[in-house]
Amino acid sequence: MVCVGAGPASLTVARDLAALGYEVIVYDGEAKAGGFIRTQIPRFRLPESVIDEEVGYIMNLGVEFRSGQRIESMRELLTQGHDAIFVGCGAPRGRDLDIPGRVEAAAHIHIGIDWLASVSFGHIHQVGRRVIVLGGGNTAMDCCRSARRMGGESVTVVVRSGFDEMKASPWEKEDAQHEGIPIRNYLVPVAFIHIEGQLCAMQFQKVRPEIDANGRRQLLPTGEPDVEIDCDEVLIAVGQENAFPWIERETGIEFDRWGLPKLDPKTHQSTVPKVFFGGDAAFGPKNIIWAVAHGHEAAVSIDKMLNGEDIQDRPLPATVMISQKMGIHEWSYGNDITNAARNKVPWAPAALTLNNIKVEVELGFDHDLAMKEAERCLNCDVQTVFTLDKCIECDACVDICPMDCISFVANGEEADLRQRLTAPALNLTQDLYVADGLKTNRAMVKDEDLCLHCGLCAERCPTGAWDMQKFLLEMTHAGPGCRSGAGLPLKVAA
Amino acid sequence: MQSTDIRQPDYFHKVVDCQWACPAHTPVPEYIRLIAAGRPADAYMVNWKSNVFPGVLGRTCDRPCEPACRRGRVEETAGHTPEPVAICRLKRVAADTKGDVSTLMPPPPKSSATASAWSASARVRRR
Ligand SMILES: Cc1cc2nc3c(=O)[nH]c(=O)nc-3n(C[C@H](O)[C@H](O)[C@H](O)COP(=O)(O)OP(=O)(O)OC[C@H]3O[C@@H](n4cnc5c(N)ncnc54)[C@H](O)[C@@H]3O)c2cc1C
Ligand code: SF4
Ligand code: SF4
Ligand code: SF4
Repeated sequence: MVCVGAGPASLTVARDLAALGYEVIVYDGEAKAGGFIRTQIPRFRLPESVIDEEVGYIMNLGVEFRSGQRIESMRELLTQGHDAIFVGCGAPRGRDLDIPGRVEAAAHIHIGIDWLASVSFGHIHQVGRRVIVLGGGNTAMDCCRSARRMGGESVTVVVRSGFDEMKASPWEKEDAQHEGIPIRNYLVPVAFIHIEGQLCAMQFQKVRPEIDANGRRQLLPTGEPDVEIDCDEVLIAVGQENAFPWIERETGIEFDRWGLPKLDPKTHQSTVPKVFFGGDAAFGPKNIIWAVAHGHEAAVSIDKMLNGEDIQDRPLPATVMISQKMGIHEWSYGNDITNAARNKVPWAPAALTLNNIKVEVELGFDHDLAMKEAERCLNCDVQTVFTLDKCIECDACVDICPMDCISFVANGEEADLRQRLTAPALNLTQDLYVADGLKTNRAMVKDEDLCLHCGLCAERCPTGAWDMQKFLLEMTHAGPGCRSGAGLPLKVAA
Repeated sequence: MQSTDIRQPDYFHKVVDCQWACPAHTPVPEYIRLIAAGRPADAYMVNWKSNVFPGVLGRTCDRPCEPACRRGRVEETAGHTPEPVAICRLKRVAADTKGDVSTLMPPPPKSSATASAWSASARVRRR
């Protein structure tokens, strides 16, 4: 089979299938594999050695990587007789901004993702003294922090929306601000101001948010005078688009009106049965972990298809339950609850990191911090498992539970039942664990919402009606497990 | 309400907030315990199987698991600033301290039989 592009989605497909003995060929226009992980994410967040190592584990499985080979025609690829084709070509096009001055001052204005790639390849080493970054997503955050390291003394991020609506993760925004980069909100770009092509400032209109009649947020001009911000260079990071110029219409691969391939959301199959899509190329730009998840699903589809199975018939995850009981009050997991606050990851000194774009900012947890942080985990996979016919309704578990999770009440409809629990939950996304049919005709109802998995209920119960059991769930990836039909049965080990 | 059928994989999966929220459904508490037990190589392999790029993701993941983490909800209820477990950066710890994992990796397959043997043995090792 063939993967187009060597980003995380394709590499996941390659790993899952190569390990099974499939012949996998991966094409990428770039010299090295990794996709955006390699070309976009700046080195101060991710050293290249980490990429080399983890791409290496996949290549070592016998994957054939054809580097520097861009696929220019899907039609031609389809004639080469491959059993399956996975398209993981990403969303490679950065949006531009068509406002006055854009063309004239073009030499000092760059598309963010193209600029980051040039920085990553070492084609660009410096930036103007005063830099404006347009956009509020993670790309904008990487642009501003990179610019800060390449001679940008005054770097400003300018965003149309408010601070809280910005697409960047909260920690990315914090990291940028921590490096002395101001973020200015509610400013809409109006024009690039230049003198004969020499960029000198940008003009912005001030706006404020307002909810319209349909409940949608709109940005309305405040009527105040426009704002000018001086600059020598501008990086445009206002979004990414999909582009498939190499996939010809006549191949039968259909696209929707947003230019995205028509896919089965579960199987990732396109309108041409042997062509699958995943990662940013499938449903628009997301992130690495989604690309990986898509890759696993597509690999399952391809493996089943090539074994003549119905790819709609998806495998269930494999689950195992193991009691954690070792002695009367002893468990094989740490059930003490620490009150410690989250530990901060130490940073390298700013003097070092702001002067060299390749120095990783975060140092990572050291051993002691890692141990402390690990202790904060509540072991939510160690489940409270209730055995109805052992319960003598003594209420000992109800009394001991520090979070009032357990109630013995008359059964009812969920909404009604929830109100009659000892401590009705505010968060309704966690289910109620109901065991109906106790001797007194009541039901045991445990609200999973705030359970600490501390095991006190099981320690206190005189009859062992509660047990703490580790629930290990693994997704069924491509391979024999996904082909057996219904997936692996759940085993309960005592 | 109907009595809960705890054999449905989704039921207890949902209780593991982080794993449910992770698009690749990484068994988070399993690897965190392995780190705490001084077994970073095993913690790495649990991740490697699920998310393929533990060292990369341990530094860069968008971490949909962290806003979902139960620890945050519990702390909020107790009146503290809600702070989830640093799930992502603990993944990095596994990657940074694992040592040589080449022998734990599946061998380049000569036939599909070797590969299936690997996935079976990897499951057993985990327990
Ligand atoms: C600046 C920036 C920072 C980011 N930071 C993060 C982050 O910290 N965390 C996170 O989770 N996500 C981040 N992302 C998003 C993440 O990089 C992507 O979601 C992810 O890489 C998508 O993976 P993919 O496999 O779909 O494709 P990509 O990683 O986009 O890889 C696609 C590959 O296909 C190749 N290709 C394209 N067309 C062809 C063709 N016709 N023939 C051959 N090869 C082709 C390209 O050269 C490229 O190497 C960031 C994105 C950007 C732009
Ligand atoms: S494990 Fe702890 S918090 Fe959860 S129900 Fe039992 S006693 Fe309550
Ligand atoms: S402590 Fe045990 S026996 Fe008593 S009510 Fe709770 S589950 Fe039933
Ligand atoms: S405390 Fe957070 S990290 Fe630990 S198992 Fe629960 S949800 Fe996952």
